[in-house]
Amino acid sequence: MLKEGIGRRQLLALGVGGTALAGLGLPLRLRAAPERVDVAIVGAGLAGLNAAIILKELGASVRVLEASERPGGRCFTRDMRSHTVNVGASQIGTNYARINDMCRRLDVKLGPGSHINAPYAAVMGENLIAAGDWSQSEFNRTLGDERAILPHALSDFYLGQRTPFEEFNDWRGPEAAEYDISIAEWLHRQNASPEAVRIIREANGNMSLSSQSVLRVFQESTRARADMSRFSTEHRQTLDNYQIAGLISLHVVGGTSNLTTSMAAEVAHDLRLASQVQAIDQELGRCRLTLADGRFLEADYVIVAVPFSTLRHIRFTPALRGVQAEAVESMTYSNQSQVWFGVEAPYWEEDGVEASMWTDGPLQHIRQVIEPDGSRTKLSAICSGKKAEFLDAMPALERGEFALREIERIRPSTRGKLEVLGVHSWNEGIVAGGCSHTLPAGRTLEWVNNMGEPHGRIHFAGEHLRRIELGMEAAMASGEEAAIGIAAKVLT
Amino acid sequence: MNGSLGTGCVAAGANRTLQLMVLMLLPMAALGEAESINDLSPRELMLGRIAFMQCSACHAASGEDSAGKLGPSLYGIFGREAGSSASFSNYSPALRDAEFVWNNETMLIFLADPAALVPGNLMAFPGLADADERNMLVRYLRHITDGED
Repeated sequence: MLKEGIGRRQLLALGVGGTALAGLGLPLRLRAAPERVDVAIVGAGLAGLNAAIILKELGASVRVLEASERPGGRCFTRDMRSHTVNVGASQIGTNYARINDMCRRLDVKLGPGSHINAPYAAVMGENLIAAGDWSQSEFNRTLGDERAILPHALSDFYLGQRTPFEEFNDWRGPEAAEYDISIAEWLHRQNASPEAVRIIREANGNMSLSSQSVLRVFQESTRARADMSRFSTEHRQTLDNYQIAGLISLHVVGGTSNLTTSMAAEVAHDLRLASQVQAIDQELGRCRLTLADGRFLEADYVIVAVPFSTLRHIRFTPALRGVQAEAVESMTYSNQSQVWFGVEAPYWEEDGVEASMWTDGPLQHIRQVIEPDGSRTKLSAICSGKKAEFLDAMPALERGEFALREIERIRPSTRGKLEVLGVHSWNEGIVAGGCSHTLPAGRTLEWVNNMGEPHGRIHFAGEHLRRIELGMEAAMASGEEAAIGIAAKVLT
Repeated sequence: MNGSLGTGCVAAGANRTLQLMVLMLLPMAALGEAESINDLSPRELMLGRIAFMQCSACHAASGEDSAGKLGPSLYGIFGREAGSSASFSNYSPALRDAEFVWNNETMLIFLADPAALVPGNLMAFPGLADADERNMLVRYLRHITDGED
């Protein structure tokens, strides 16, 4: 690359790197010109990696800038003592076409899913109630038809199973306007009892149901219903949608990170880790990215494939406007805080109650992992919303101890049988700023139809821009859409 | 699914009407296809290749192995009755029961809004709003699927 009469390679031959030059305050004409690529991609999660792979395959030059020290975003497999744990995305739906195809292309093995949604017992206050006893339990204060529904399945009963939509895209159409209401309002219209509303709120990390849109739930359930319609098994009669999803989904053998690591290997030397983008300026028909360490990169186009919780810390010139600016600034991300345990003996055999527990206490869901081979060696306490905030207020070591004592308190048969493996919170670190996006009641329709629009030469991607897909597949689809939108401009 | 407030019956009626309109278009379609579709310029080939990127996770197009893909191979699709590929067994009832033949016109209508032409089909694709992009994709599909009408 030759510019201003002196090339970067020549400067490097003199032992002077771009960063060092910036620090020396040399005249502009003597500095190395910023590297220039067709497309800069911010974020090396599934969306950014998929966009990079597509663009490279088509012949574009790309550079992926990832702020953290690892690729994968919310696909993250951690080693906790002798256990491998997916602390992020794990379930791969049978209709996740892009994920399945990418795994096939990269020879990443898929296997049957872990049954993380195994049947739950209920814990109400101090009281442990076996699933079979729930409908007649004195601690079951729900009414009418609700009484037969286990606490963890009430949300699916009132929300998931009652989607008014038929087609995957209906939730974004004009007829969806009458459903751009809060979950609380929907439950009121369905005549849910106050206790049912309380239980659903508890399962939502005790976050308010008055601000979250029910449309997001309906998008998921409309899509999931179609996926499950392929499976007319006896499970559909006895299990709720989440349990069925657990049974029929796939997982990446060895952990979800095996997929994102393989995708990162495809991107190869065009991926830069520890490269946090601070600003993106558009001028004179190009984009200039400023990194936190003072480096620059120039690109014809940019794909920003990070959650809005991260994106809002990037300075755009010209600034984002209108609905897009509103969504970027104010989209709420629910955190997820996890404590993982090794299970040293089958405590559920001692008291004859289901191993997994839904609780209205601080730990929310306590899930037993049933591996495809039937082994039951892991347990996780999963908290979201305010319950996650409560856990995160403690140092990591205390968090594990607290969760262990809490489980032993509500489930005496676990005493001496659990070992804390580790903790993980998606609110910590620079990657995500939370685990899962929420959409605001009354604004969802406007947001989902506008917040992902290109801003000049900047396109956006990420799971939060889902249209008709879910989870990991939604991230892949959004990266694909951004890549295709840009490719026609760059390559023809 | 319990408690659905859906508009399935209305949609099914619209589906039948649209499919009848499609059948009436067939003679015109045959005329429309007289123009050569194999003379794509390099730029058009690239545009088609880019557009097909949104199909390729689910569909093989040429004679290559489509094992592991969620949708049927599109090889030889033009001239074939909808939902009738002998090598694919996982059609939705909606597409299996559809009554039209794939040609330029039906493909264009389908790609504009798949759920409008075949409500209840399981192809997770919201449709291409841009008419030029649809035209380009259909021409490219004709080119790579090597089918004859």
